[in-house]
Formats: sequence, C-alpha cells, structure tokens
Amino acid sequence: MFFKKRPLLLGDNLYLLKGSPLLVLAALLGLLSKPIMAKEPAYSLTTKPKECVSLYQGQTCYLTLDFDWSAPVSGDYCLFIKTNSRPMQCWSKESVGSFSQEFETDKDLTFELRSREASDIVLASTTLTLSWVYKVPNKKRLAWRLF
Amino acid sequence: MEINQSLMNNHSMTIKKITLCAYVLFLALSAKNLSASENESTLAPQNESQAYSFFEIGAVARAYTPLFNSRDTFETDSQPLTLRFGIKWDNGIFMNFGNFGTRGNGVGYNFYDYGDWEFDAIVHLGLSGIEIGRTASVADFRFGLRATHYSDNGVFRMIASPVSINSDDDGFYLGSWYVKNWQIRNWNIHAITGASYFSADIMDNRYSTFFFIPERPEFPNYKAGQGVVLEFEVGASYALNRDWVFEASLGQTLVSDAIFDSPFVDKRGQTYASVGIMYVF
Repeated sequence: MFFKKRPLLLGDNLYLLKGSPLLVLAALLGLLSKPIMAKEPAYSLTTKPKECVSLYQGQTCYLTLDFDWSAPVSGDYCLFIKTNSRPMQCWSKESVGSFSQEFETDKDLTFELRSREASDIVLASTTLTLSWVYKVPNKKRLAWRLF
Repeated sequence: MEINQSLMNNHSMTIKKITLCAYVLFLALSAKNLSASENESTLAPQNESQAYSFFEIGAVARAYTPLFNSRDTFETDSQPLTLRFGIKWDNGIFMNFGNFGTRGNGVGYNFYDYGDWEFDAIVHLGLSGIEIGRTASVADFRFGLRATHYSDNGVFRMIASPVSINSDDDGFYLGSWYVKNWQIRNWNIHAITGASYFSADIMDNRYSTFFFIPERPEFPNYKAGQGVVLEFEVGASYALNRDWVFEASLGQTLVSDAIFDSPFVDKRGQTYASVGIMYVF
C-alpha cells in the first residue's frame, strides 16, 4: 500500500477516514507523527486559474486549466476529476508534474491527485469555482437591450 | 378670454390623458387578477419569483454618422460615467434606466408574466430608432403597452405607444424588435433587428419645415408624413472577471423616404459603433 511508504501527515486528506479501520489507525499514527515530520512537504495540487467566470448564471464556462502537483516521494500518480473514475493524466516515478487541459463546465469541478496503485485514496485536491457576473436570467438582460 | 379658453382646453386634455392612463392601468390590474385566478385553477402555481435587479456603472465611448447634413460626417461622444439599472418587484412594478441612446428608459407595471409571455403598461422616455446624437428640446414622456415573448436565447418585444404625457401632439409610435444571443466560448454575441413606425405628428417635430426662410433656401417647405426606421445591431459582451464586463456593438439604421426626403437629412441611415466597460454590482 502506498501510505506505508511514509508516515501520514496532518495535512493529508481526510478521505482516509472513509477507508478501512486500518486506514483510520494509519491516520491516527499520522497525527501522532506530526511533530517529527512537520518539515516534510505534503502533497499539493493547484490550478491556474482557480475560478471560471461566465456572463450569465447557468451558462457554460470555457477555460484552459494549468495543473501543478508535487509529492514528497517519487511514485506513480494520477490526476482525476472527482466524479470520474478514469484519470485525466498519469505520471510514473515522478514527484512533481504539470498538465494543461481545456474544460467546459456549468458547475464547480473538483480535481484530485491520487496514487495509481490505490486510486481510491485522495492525496490532494483542489476545486475550480464557477461564478458569473449577472444573476439576472439571460433572457431578462436580452430584453432590456430592446426597449 | 382666448387665453383662458386655451388653458381650459389644455387642462381638459391633461385630465383626459390621465383618465385614459388610469383606465388602461385598471384593465391591466384586472387582467393580472384574471390570469392569477386562471393560474390557480388550471395551472400549477408559479412559485418562481419574477423579481430581479441589476445595477452597473462604467464608461462607454461611441462613434456615429449623423443624419443631418449640417453636421460633420463623423461624430463621437462618450459617457465616462454610464449608469444602468433595472429593478422589478414581485408586485410587478419595474424600472429600467440607462441605455446609451434612446432605448431602455421607463417605469411600468407588468400585469401579465407567465411562461414565455410578458405584458406591461409603461411610461417611457424617448423613442427607439430616432436618430442617434440628436436630443429632443423637450423630453417626451409617452405611455404605451408592451409585449415580450421569450424563446431559446431570443426575445421578441413590441411596443405600441399612442399617448404623449407632456405634449398635445400625441402621435403614434410602434416599435418591434428581435434579439438573439449566441455564446461562443465565454463571449456572448447578440444580434438585434427592429423596425419603428412614427406617425406624422411625431415626424413633424423632427423632419418637417413649416416656414420657408428666404435666407436659408437649402431648407424648403417640407411636410414629412409618417416614417419608418429599420435597425440592425450586432454586439459582444465578455466577463473580464466576476465584476467587470467588456462590451462592444456595431449598428446600422435605415430611414424611409419620408425622413430621407427631409431637407434636414442627407443620409439613408446611421452607422454607429460603441465600446465600453461596466462594473456590475
């Protein structure tokens, strides 16, 4: 199992708690080990931009997302959209990675970095927020252009 | 005595207009109550609130060709502080204010709003289609009835405006437009086509000449008659972030012979372009 490669950190994702009793125990061990391991870098996943703005509420938003991730140890990692079981991209024996992809969405999207071997464990996650300028429905704004 | 008679006539005319407007509003209220009871009895209740509001401030610059031959062939104007707001309450009363030109300013009452249709009674300022860059010497507040139909990314709107609140020469104004919106990635592109009809009374104040002035032979006596203006516009809007919107538009109007033949006019229409940014609250 991947999490045996190093003690768990406080910063590790709480998704661990959804796992087996062994995982819960591992999490607790991780909590105990925090003072010793505090300087070790945690898993991270970031996107640029973090927000996609569409003009009207409910419209699809289009953007190109740049992903950057890092891990404290080299390994096989994959990038997932939270709701998808298929990875967007995978890396082998890497501790850092970057990736770009175009998206079109009408709702917030959460991305997750997972181990390839234990893809149910979320190592890091980030959320792309969808927002809009006009809360007035598109059709009302269109009508206002007329008279 | 003649002056008193004239004042009485004006007074009587104003009372007549107010009575007419009140009667139309009464009919509107009745129609709303009727449609509400129909909805209760035959249709599912409309829980979704029809209220809305928006408020934005920004800067817009515009260039246009004037209709009048006494001016240059190309003019520009700008509004460094452009204010726009629209609000509609649940009780049906609404206010719209602030389009750059002649459209969009009015206070009214929405007496039917169900499904894809809306009907309003509205007091509005200005007439769409009237030439850009020329402001009336006296603001013309008019009373009209407006119908709006919504379809997928498109809106059809029509207004019939038979009464001027503050002028004896009511005239009749009829306008209809259709706007369609397309989303291309994060850009919103719109296209508008419209036609406006102006009765002879409205046209007289703008395009007729009543006296021949020997010193100005270029302005012969001219009675305009009724006129029509066609409007076409394409534009684009883009959200720079969640507060700022960039917008641009390009438009063309075409005037009928009654306007084109006026000695004040030497063009078949106007071309305009505008660009601006707005902060949306």
